[in-house]
Amino acid sequence: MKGRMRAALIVLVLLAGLALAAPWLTPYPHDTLDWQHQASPPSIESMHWLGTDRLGRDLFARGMQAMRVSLLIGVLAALVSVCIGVAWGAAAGYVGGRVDAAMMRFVDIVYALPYIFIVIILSTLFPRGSIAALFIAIGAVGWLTMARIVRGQTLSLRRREFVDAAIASGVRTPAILWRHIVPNVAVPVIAYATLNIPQMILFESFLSFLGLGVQEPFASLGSLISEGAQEMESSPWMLLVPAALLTTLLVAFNVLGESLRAMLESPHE
Amino acid sequence: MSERPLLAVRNLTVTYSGAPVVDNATFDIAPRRCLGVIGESGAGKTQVFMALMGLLPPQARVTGHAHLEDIALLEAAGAQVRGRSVAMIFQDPMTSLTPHLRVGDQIAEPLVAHRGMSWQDARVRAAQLLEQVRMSDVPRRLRQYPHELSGGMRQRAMIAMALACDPKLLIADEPTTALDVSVQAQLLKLLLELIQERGMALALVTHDMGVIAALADDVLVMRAGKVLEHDAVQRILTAPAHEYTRGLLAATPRLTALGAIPRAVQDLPPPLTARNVSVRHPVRGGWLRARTFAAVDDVSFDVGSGEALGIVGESGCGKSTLTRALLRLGPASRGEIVWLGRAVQDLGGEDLRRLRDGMQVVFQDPFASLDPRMRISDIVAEPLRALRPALGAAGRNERVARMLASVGLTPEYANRRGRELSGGQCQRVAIARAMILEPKLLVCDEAVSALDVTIQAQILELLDALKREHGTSIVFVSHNLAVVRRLCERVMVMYLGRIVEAGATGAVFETPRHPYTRMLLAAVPLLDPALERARLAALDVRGETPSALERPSGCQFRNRCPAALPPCAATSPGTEETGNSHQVACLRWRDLAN
Repeated sequence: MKGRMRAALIVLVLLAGLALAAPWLTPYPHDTLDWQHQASPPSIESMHWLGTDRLGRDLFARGMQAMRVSLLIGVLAALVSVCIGVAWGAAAGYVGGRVDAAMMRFVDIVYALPYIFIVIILSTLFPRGSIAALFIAIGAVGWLTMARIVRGQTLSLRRREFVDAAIASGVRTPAILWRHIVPNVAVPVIAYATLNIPQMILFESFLSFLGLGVQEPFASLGSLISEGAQEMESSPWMLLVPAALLTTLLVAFNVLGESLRAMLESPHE
Repeated sequence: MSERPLLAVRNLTVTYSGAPVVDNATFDIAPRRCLGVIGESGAGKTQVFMALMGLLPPQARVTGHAHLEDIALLEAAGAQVRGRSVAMIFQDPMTSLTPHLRVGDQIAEPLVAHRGMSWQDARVRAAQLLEQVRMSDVPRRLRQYPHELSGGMRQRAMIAMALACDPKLLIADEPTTALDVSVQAQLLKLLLELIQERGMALALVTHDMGVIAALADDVLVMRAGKVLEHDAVQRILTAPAHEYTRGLLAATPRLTALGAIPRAVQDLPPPLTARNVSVRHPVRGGWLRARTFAAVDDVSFDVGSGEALGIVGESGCGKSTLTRALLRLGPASRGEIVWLGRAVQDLGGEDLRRLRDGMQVVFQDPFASLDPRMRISDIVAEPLRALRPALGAAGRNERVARMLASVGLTPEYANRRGRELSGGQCQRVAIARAMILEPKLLVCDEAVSALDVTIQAQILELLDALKREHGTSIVFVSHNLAVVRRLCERVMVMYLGRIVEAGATGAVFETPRHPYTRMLLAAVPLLDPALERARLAALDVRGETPSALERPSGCQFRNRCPAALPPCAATSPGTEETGNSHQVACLRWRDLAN
């Protein structure tokens, strides 16, 4: 278990490092057309290591730029969903009663709406291609599960004697939530958030695949895959490169999240 | 002892990654005899028998020899021995029974599996076994699920399962620790009779000297994996050779010991008065029927300053619900609770928070009552942070250091976390947290019940000092009568949410007026083997506390009361004064007094 976790971490650090360092590693910017090499396969001499797309843009540069977008959106959207989810879930679980019922019914209702639909509506409210809109849209649906998890944990913490002891010590409710509940739900939250990141990345890629996400000249892994799929028969690398990057990223995050969860769930830490 | 031993253990050592938890244990158990193994937590007493049963985790290393008649236990595959020659019962019968199987099938299953019986025969045998463990209403019990049985009945069912394959040796690991005293007494009597009837040997692991006195013939005293002493029970309990055993005995509270003596009546009004307090819980009824039951029913009492009031009773009597109502932690109560001249029930918000200043609480489970993520110094400082914000960090640290010192914890503990401390140390931290505001009232809900006797004695000493030196009032909830005797000036006995008897501790314990109080007192084990066995033989304890939902009409104790007469079913007894502020709620107390 430890070994798998370490491997996943190494892969993630390498991918992130590569994505950040990419502008210095390749002579080609991600948005410049190379008229000599249009739709050319990977080659060492031309320095287009992963080939170029139909317009002659370097796929390595575009792939790395896309990964920066994916990672940024994944991590930030997970953060947004953690913040909203923890606050919502802890408040509902701790206060209980009608407040809890009302807050959790709200979550149920949002859950019941087709969330792609919500995201599509939200993304039309913002200018096309705005990354901020993507964060908000993805974060707004991502917190629902987090709120349920935190509420469940809070309900069981609420019955623990140390919470009663804090009440009996005269600690105010917000302080109890902040000092006793939140630190004690942190562990499952971190594990779930790690599993949440790949979902967010996948979701963003899906939106971009549909053309609702990141707009030209910027790319995201989803939009690259969408473009590549059109040229799949003549130039398969255009599909394979972004697809391989996305898969590696998702697998690494999932392995990390699963190992974290297994580690935290096992009785011997 | 000339008989050939049934079980012979030689130089048994159990180590976990090099550290011995059982160090060179050597002992015998003869047929028809009981070996008691006593020691505090971490003594390795359970490990000895887990090793013999082959139930230790794989990382444990076991060396030495153990023979049960001709079977070499340590070499034999565990399953050959388990459930046939040796059977084991544990502290918590709920976790050892499968929740979704009926009790009868659960007992019958091993008979079908190991003995090749048909299901029909096995069920008949299961019924016989339940008769043998004196289970009441056997045909119904066979069809019930474990959660429908009370703790005492579940333990009986476990014993019946253990007896199913006629073991030669029964290992009982804290068999009565989770049970109320009256149920404990019934089970001790049962075990004593079973040894004689079946010619079975019993190995009894316990931390309770009273249980040892009741059952053991020989006693092994263990500490930190080592056997300190091995002798006949009479000698261990009267003239122990080892200093540690003497310490254990001295720390064990006794009912007969001289307890706290009530002070002269003070003319000051008592800081806490409760009048006609009731707490009702809603129960989900059958068909759209909202029902409630009274967990606490019309209870009145006072607590004077510098006085400790003991609240005793068996599980389900409402004692914890009552303390939670006092502290305003639980569901709303009816009646009137007045604390320093203010009615507590109607307070809310900031007023309620300020009330906490003078009223603090110590809970039963020392680990659960400390936030696992906080450092000890932060835990103790929390009430100051909340209610003395003007103090500042420096002032807080200084007070925390002083408080930790006064509960006997050195400054190096300040930076540790709860799980790095022992149970006793955690309870000291909980007491430090409760005392840091110098409250006028300290509520202790089974505060010493989970602790080993030596630590229990230290904590009681600490509480006694608080009471005497700071004039702190204490409400002390416990099911342990001897502990209450040691600490409390006055005592209140509760049964199904009502007070059945109240008065000065000495008066109530020496001249109990209510049959329930008598029964409770009679159920406490004595520390003298001869007296204890005579007591068990003569014991007449009936039934168990019914659920508060099935409250009998009239006097609610009548269906367990040895003195009940027809009028008891008709009239609910009121509280009467028997003199000297000793109160009792029994219709027949005058007849029974003589």
